[in-house]
Amino acid sequence: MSDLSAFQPVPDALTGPFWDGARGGRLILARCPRCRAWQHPPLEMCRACAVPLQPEAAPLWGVVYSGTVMRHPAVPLYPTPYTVVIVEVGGVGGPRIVTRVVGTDGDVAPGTRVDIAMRPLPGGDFMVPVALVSTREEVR
Amino acid sequence: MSDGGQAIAAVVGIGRTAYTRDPAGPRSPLSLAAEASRAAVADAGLDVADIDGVASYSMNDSATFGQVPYAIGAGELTWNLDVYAGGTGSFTSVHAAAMAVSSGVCRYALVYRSLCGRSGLRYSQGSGMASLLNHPDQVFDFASGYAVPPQWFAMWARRHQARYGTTPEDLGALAITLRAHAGRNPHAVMRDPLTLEAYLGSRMVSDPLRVYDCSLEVDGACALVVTTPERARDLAQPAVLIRGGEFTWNSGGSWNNWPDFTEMYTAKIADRFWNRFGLRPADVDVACVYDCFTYTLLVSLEGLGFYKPGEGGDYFRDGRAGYGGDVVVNPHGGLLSEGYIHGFNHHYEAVAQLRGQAGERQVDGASTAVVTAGGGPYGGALLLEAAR
Repeated sequence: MSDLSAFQPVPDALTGPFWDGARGGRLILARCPRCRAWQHPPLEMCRACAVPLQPEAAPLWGVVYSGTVMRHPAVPLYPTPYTVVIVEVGGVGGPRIVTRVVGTDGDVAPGTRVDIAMRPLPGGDFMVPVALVSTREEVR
Repeated sequence: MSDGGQAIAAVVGIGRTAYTRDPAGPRSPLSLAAEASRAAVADAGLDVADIDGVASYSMNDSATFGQVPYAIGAGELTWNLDVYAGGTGSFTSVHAAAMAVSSGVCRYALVYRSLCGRSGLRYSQGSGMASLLNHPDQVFDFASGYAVPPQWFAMWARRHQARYGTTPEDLGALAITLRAHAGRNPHAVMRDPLTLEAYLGSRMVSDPLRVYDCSLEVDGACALVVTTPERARDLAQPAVLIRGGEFTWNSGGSWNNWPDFTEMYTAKIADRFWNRFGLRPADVDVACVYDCFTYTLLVSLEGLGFYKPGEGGDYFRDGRAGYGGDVVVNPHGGLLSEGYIHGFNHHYEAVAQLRGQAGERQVDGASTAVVTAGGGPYGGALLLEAAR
């Protein structure tokens, strides 16, 4: 458990652009310069084109693919309850990221549109993306 | 009974320790593995000196192939395999052992799974996941407090709920059925009947999964001995034939990118599996289906074609997954009520049933069993048959 409570990312060549971007309020994901496919988690090369992926700013909104409310404190990073969603960035079918929800600790239904912002990761100076539940209507 | 085609191997010995949640006197995974392995070898009527192949799987939480045969006094091995895997390794290790004896690289393969899943590294509390903290496929998830299997499968279940209207009562019907089965199994850890009221009133872990939707973490070990069908004829127990297996892998390390959380590995192997053996779900007597969570079981059976998507709750409520129904699902109580031996206890149960040695929980005339392993994108299924 102590390992988990002390958790801080150790950025490397692949994950560094994400963490650097988050500090600047941007969502930086790997993208193929040839076929334009996003790749998250990042790889060095595009799976299809085998060319180096490039870090690129992704849209700061998305649509919830699914979500769950954490009630058992398995990870001591955030106090329970808290809601985590998988967001399809830039709309349905976009690259998926995992985010904690800010603004509610209740259910966030699949199909809900959310905005993405950066918030501090406890215990250090990293920032992580979170989903802001907006009042806009569901898109599907 | 299937079309009578060739078997690739046979299970000739089974062994296990007690499954326990008692943290007072924990034993090492090696001690547990050695006990279960010796029991399996003895059950087969073999001597440890006969064992010349060993396989297992783990996530750095168990005794390795180098330790276990040494601890039980085995001689020279001509084959080994240590698989780094989750539940899917329960398929991979046994399937590989079947292929190893079939191809002749060894004669008698010992396959085991041993873990101190309660007193040692616990997946539900993250300690089993600590080695993955900065793995590129996990680090972004950890940073959002999304780190352990109950959370992952809850996320998947919520999508199924949104698409098919799956209710808490539906998931509860699975937990209640398996608990009822465990009531007839002296080896099961949780045997008291579970009511719908108690299920619905139980602690929520990650919506929509309650504590009774989750595996029962225990310390324990389970082992099999696998050889060829020909050698099996001369051994101590009625042979159980491994007709073969089907496996699928079509996804990277991050499960988050699996296109459709309302289906799992079984949806990908179902056609291949049933067509290969000329069978349909209705032909199977016993289904030991990987049930790390109720949702895993719900959607795995759905993918295999036991019922249509969204109809799993009714299937269980109507008794079709129990004694006197279409097929008996996890007669031992599964990982939910017998105990979490990472799926390996499903092989043990299928073999006991096909031998007719399952005691009070014996499924009448059991001759064909499917054993699956896995959750999410990858996994496999074996077809086992009583030798005629």
